[in-house]
Amino acid sequence: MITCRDMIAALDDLLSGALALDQGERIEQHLAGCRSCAAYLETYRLTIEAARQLPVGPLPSGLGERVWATLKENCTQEEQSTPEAQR
Amino acid sequence: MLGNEADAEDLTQEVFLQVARKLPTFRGEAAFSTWLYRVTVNAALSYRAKRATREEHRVPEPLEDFLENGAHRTPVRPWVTAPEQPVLNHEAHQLIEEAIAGLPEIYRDVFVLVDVEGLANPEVAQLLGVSVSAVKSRLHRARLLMRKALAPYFEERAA
Repeated sequence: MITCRDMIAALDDLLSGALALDQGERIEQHLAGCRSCAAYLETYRLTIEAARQLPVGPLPSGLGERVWATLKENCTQEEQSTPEAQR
Repeated sequence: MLGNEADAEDLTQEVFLQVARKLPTFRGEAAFSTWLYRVTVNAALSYRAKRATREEHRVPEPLEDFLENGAHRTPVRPWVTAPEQPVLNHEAHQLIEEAIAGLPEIYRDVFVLVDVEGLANPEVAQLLGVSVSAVKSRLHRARLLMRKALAPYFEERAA
């Protein structure tokens, strides 16, 4: 018999379709009679969906300029420390 | 992966510098994006290892809310308002970001790389230097923890 704990442990395989056929049937039977597990499955799925839809946030203000300034500063230092520059 | 914006900015600068220096060594054997992910993830792991404020390594047990017979300790309530609904955008996104930042590092890494960035499990396994089954099990636990962190908010709205 499948318990709620077994059910939650198998959620990942259930959603990715990786369960063995008989295991999938037992899970389906459990889901049909357990409202908590049905709610858990749906909210687990929503959690994944929400993460997938997270937008790429705007870059912090001035980050591009700061990265560019760091790059320039380091390139200048490296150029000055090359043997050609020291001659 | 770093859990806060200030460290992420420092790391971004480091990664740009590294990419500028190492670009000549990129041999085109892998896609540029794969190489860039590798450089970035390696830099993030190294940055975190050096960071003075170490996260406590106690990892919570997400499967704790069960009775001895394996049944749910308390009924699980549905979320009437789903976190991906556009109407909730700003507030929900902030909440999700905070929940991600609150994940233990080993779970946060896989959650960010797989569920947020959309990389495949084998790719993440390679990036993090762990087995595919470790990625799979960490990802499942990360999702359980995320669901647990988000539930009070979305259940509350449903009430």
